[in-house]
Amino acid sequence: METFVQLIAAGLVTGTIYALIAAGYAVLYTATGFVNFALGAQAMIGGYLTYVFLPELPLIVRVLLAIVVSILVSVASWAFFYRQVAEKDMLSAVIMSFGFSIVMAEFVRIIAGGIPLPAESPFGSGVQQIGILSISNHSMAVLVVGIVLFAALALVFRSRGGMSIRAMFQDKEMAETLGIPTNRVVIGLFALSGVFAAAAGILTGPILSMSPHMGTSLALIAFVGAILGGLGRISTAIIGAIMLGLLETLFAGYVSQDYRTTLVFAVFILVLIVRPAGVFGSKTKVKV
Amino acid sequence: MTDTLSPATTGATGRRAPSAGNLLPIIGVVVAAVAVVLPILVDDFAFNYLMSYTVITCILALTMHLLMGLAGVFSLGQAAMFGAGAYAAVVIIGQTGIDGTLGLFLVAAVGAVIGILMGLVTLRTTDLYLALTTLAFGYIVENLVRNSDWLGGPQGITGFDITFAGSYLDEPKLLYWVGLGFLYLLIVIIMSVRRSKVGRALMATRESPIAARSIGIDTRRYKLLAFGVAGAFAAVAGGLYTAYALVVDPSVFGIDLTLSVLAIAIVGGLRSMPGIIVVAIVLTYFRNSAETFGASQYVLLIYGLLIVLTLRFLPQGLGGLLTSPRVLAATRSIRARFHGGTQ
Amino acid sequence: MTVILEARGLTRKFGGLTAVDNADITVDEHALHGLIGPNGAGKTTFVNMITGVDSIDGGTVTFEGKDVTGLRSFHMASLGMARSFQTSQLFEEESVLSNVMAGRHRHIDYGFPHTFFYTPKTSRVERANRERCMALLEQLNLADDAKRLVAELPYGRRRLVEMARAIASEPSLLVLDEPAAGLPGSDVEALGETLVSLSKNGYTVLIIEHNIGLLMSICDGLTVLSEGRVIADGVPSVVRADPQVIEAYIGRSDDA
Repeated sequence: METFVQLIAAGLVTGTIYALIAAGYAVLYTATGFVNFALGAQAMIGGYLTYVFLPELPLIVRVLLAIVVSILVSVASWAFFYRQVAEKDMLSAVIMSFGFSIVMAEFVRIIAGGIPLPAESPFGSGVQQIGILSISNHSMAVLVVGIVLFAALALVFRSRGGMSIRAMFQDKEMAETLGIPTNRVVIGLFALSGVFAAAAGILTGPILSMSPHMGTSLALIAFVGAILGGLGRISTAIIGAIMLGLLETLFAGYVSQDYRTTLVFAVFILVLIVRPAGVFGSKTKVKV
Repeated sequence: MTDTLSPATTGATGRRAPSAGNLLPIIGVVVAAVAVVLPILVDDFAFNYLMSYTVITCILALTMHLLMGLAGVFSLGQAAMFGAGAYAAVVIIGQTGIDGTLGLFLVAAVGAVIGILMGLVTLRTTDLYLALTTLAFGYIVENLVRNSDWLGGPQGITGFDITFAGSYLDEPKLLYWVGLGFLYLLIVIIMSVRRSKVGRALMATRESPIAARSIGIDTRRYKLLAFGVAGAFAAVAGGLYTAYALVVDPSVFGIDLTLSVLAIAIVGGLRSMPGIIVVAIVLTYFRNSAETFGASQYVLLIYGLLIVLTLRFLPQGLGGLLTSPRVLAATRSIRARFHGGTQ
Repeated sequence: MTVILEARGLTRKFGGLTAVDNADITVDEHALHGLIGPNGAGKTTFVNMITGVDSIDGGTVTFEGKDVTGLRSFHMASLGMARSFQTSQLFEEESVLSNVMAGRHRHIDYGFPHTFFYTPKTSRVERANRERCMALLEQLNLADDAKRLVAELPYGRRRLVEMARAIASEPSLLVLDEPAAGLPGSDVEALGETLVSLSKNGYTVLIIEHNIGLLMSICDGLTVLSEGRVIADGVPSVVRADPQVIEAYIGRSDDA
């Protein structure tokens, strides 16, 4: 029982980090049909900015810097690269984001080296005992930050402005005629996804330690999570990613630590074959 | 506007479907012949060693051309096929002791099976999902191999001999020629297929699956065929690579390899065989020089940049330049000048 | 007369909506048969079921005496049922000739060895294939465009290429989904002539139109679909006089 509770908590923490990236995917996908694989690399850069590059600056400055850089990368890459390609061929744009994430990873590797670097949690190394569950301050922080960000996301999309954004998802031309500036909204959504990516990177650093290519696998696993729940809606993408975190942690705890990669990607293939729109997705086929 | 059904009068100035010039086949044959005698002309160990690696890369890159360019299947699973071939070669040729003359074909068979399997699993999905499913395939195979003691686990296997017709295949010249043989075989197959019923079926599948099926083309079957052939040759490339590297470990499935081949295919132009071959040679040479000059840490960064910049500014790749409207128009005007403007 | 295509009780539901409801159609060999109905009557869905593009919720399809219910579209096509689409489905980046040559897919068979290695046999078969396709392009007045890319042809000629590709497969039933849509009047007339000459040459054609005028003058038989049901079936003169047809269709021809 204790192991189970412990694993559930760990799974929720892992899942929340995946969900931050998955939320970024879904925000962009529902609006543009584009999947930005570079979100994982943006998370990685956010982590390096917070923990590795500028240790002399105060923490709050480093965190803000990480978020700002992630936003800038997000928006600029869309405005100057992805958008022009996505208009003609969406798949090329996605492959491009994959290439871009390699560029970022290699850039960081050249500056900081390829050896994984430990990162110290801003929340200290303390551990809290809640009943039979012992949970580190950092893990609690991950859950709290996750809940806050997801709640904020829900508020944004429930607000009047959010409604018009959702109208835009339904019908872009209609939105244009109603006077919703789709281009500016899309830029805003890219900025939003940048915030989520940076948060994921800052939170994951102390758990996994920092390495340049951590973003690539984070991006892929988060995508699997989003697909598992359904990429067509933000809520289902988040739930799917959390589910995947739980599944992965339980599998690692009870079955095999070695084969968790196999599990994750087997889940991916299975979902795509059995339910391409995700476990909670509507039956209408997701168009990519 | 009223006579849209009558023949267009602008036929002469209109863009024509790209056709290989008369000169191209001759150049191709000459280059192919020079390639065969090259190791004799330049009898240098390091050079031949590099050449053998180049040929292996060319084979792998052309399997990408076959899948992505001809069949329109955006597969990122080349590393899985290549890696499976590498391990299969070590087991079949290195450990079991079957000579490469037969063994490499067995390796090809293993690759074909892996390819078809990958096809069966992924073909229900399209485009982006297909790309990621094939990529996921690579991660799964890597994870399984890494955890299998039988295949040496994370350290991999060393101390095996890959033989071909009784000789050790780690001799660069022999490796180069064997690789070249497979490369030519693949080129002949691709060129033949392109002009045949299967090539048209692949083209139809790529351009419009709905229309393809409406004229009786079983699109699934042809995609599987492409996966099978690509798998076979990617596996052979993997097998030859073990003779080159003398070690096989899970890194053969790595993102490094996927990225390198992807960069070659995209920069060369997915649809252009000459483009891909030229870029494969150039980038392999570049990579080797970078290692010589101690700049190898920039290689992947540059590959990534090449992918991003090519997709952004030259979506058809360098090969696309050969068939772009502007180049075609220029060629036509030159020809017209030579032939008194009949065209 | 031999019946070549017979569909009985075809039904297709999308969610709660029944797009096609228990519809029948019979097409005689060598006939030029029209399927008409106002926009949204379910014509395309009906034909998609017959040609295997869409799945069937109920009913049977018999083609040349064989039960082909639920076969997939490539299978139907390989049995000799060719079709064109309402929104053109061409191989855009390919030449006209290459589009049409692909249409002859089911007639070309030289086995894989001859595919992988371009043998004299391959060459012979391919040359014959090319010549037949060129001849067909001549007949359809498309020969001058044979080497042009489909993507750069004007609309009317693209529709013709799509028809040529379907004809190239020498189908025993040719299904055309609104071939006249978007064509100017003179082209519609030319199309009518082409269809009549196809029929004279022994082809069986099932043509879908919402424009009733064209079909009335050229068809041997008509089936009228309205709101997913067949409301009339017979020779044009009888169908034209049917009060149900007049009410459902001709009565509001203004929005057709």
